[in-house]
Amino acid sequence: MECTYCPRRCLLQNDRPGACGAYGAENGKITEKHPHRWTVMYATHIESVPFYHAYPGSRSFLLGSSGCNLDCAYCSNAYVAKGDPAQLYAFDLPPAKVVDLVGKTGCHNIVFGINEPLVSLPSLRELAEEAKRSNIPMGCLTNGYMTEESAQEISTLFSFINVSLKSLSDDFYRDFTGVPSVQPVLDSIKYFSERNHLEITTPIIQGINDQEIEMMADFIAAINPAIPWHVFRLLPEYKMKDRDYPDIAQINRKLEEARKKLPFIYFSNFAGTRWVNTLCPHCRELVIERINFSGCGGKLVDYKLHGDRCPFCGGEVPIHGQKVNWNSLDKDYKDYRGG
Amino acid sequence: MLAVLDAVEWQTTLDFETGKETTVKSDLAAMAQELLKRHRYPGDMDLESISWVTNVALDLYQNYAPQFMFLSFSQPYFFSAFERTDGVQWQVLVSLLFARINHFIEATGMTPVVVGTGQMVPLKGYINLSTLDGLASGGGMAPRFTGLYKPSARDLELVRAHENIELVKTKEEVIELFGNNEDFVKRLPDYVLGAGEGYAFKAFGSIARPMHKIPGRNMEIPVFTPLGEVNSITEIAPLVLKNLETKKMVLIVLEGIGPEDFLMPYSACDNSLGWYDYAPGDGQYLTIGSGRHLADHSYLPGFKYYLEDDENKKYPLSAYFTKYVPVMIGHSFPGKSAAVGSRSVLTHMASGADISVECFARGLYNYGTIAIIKD
Repeated sequence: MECTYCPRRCLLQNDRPGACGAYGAENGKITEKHPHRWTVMYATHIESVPFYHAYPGSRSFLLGSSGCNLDCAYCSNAYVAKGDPAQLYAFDLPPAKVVDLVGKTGCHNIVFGINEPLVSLPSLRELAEEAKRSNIPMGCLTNGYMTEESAQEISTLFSFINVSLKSLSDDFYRDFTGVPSVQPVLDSIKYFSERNHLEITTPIIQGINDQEIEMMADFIAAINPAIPWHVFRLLPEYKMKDRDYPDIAQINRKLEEARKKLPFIYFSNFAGTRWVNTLCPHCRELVIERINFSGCGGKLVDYKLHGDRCPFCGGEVPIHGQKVNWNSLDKDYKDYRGG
Repeated sequence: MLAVLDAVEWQTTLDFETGKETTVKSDLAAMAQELLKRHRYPGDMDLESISWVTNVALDLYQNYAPQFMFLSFSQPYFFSAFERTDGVQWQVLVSLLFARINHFIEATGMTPVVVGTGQMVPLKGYINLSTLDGLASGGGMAPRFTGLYKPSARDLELVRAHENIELVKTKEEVIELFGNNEDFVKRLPDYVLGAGEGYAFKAFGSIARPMHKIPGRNMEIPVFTPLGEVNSITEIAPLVLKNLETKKMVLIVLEGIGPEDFLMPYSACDNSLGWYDYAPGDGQYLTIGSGRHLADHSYLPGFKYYLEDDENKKYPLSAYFTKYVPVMIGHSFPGKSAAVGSRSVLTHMASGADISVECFARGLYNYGTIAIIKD
């Protein structure tokens, strides 16, 4: 039978999974081959994921499984995204146990990252139901390459979503990710922008997609200029590990132009970056300060907003959820601090 | 303290305590900027990184003239942990490693103390603690020791009966062994578990990257120095310090190298404290660098790494460390000191050197290099 999760629409048979390796078919139904198998679970800053405008300061329970429906030549998590799930060590944890761990580790929300949520959708559906009972918000990183039905479901399960927009060109998606068209990704972005808190991430591979920066900024601005855009310098990995590192200064010069259209452009994946702070789009004062000490995100170090208002001019800075303190849900923190 | 960060053809200088950009300048920082430009780190999984350590060290030796140097090489550890290296590839790595060390020693005339952190052994399997009622913290690359918080009676029964768990120690037993240092004790879990040789724990915080070898239970590690036998891991730093009165000394740490691969005459050095044996990582590095057991400067595996990582945490570029305990050789020695290492944070933490140049790699991703400069 035909898989309905992503536009590849693979023909599934019991002994022959689709391109992502996650699904088979049995008795006329799509079956998840590795339900509730998680390869990664740890606590991290939501800003490190990255989400810069959702639940600032919160502790996220980062969850990952294995597999992906794309085959990005530069994948930085290929050992999980492209590895054989049977060869990877994984935790078999039902939704109630995951939620229990979220509570025990003092996390404020669950973020599915590392690999593509589409390959674990039935498990995530059950986890979302359990999380909802405990009022735990869920977010995810996704490549956005999904069918409309999947987009509808992802939109329901996750209140905050970060979509990876790698390019606007079909050629790029064909040459570097193994699928024929970018259109489903663009459709997903538009769909989520109307229903969810949305942030967008773009990996820059110099000489390949850096010339698209302005066009991508136009695309995002046309949807909603308040969408935070995370541009990150791609570290050459997987099939492209011999490529040179993108030039930070050159890329940032291109981003300077784009910042005139989009007030929330961030540039990272290199430690020490100075482009991870949020400036008020109205008065240009520094309202959220972050530092980056590796990875594509950052860490919150100062938060000046009053709700979603700039303390200097009163202008709006869109934030999804409330700012929270890192240890506010950690029951053991008091003991640790000595009462 | 200052940090000069080189993200490959882009540099910035940070206040090391806050992680924020600074315009403060120093001669040593200016020297570091040029040095980092000359030496791009090849990556954790690149054999050239062995030569990167010695090339940077020789450059520093010529330009800064330190009397004490600390060098660390992590490639043997990373290769045996994450690559299925065959015997020939491994021999090439080991030969290159010792050739570069010998070259450095000959070129500088420094008196060496060379420490292998212990043998790696094939991974036999993982011990899954994720289904316990309590919380097990499984941070680190291949934790052989881990922490258990608020276990149920069922949990304790399970872990005590587990065929691959060798040690189940209460907090009180840990304190009895390591002492009652307040900073150390507050980070202790309720129970510490120790895996049998060849086994590692999997729990909340574990990494997903597949491993092939993990550190063995190395109660002894090899140490070479022309200064005589070294009997205990805590004797290394005092020996270096004592000889710095009259000699130029270099302390070299070879991660993932045990007696079988140690191509120098060596003495067997006690790598333990009671039931606890050191595996490559912060505890072992800082014990080598200070001459004090880990309760004086670092944490036992299995602590909750995230508790202290709030908005006010200091030293964000030093992983989970929140302060510097000034007990390393570079702190105690009044002369010039320099360190170079491919084990990132542990290079500056374990050396206390005036200037520490290290790779800025995290989770094997190569973000560039960093130089940390002490005030």
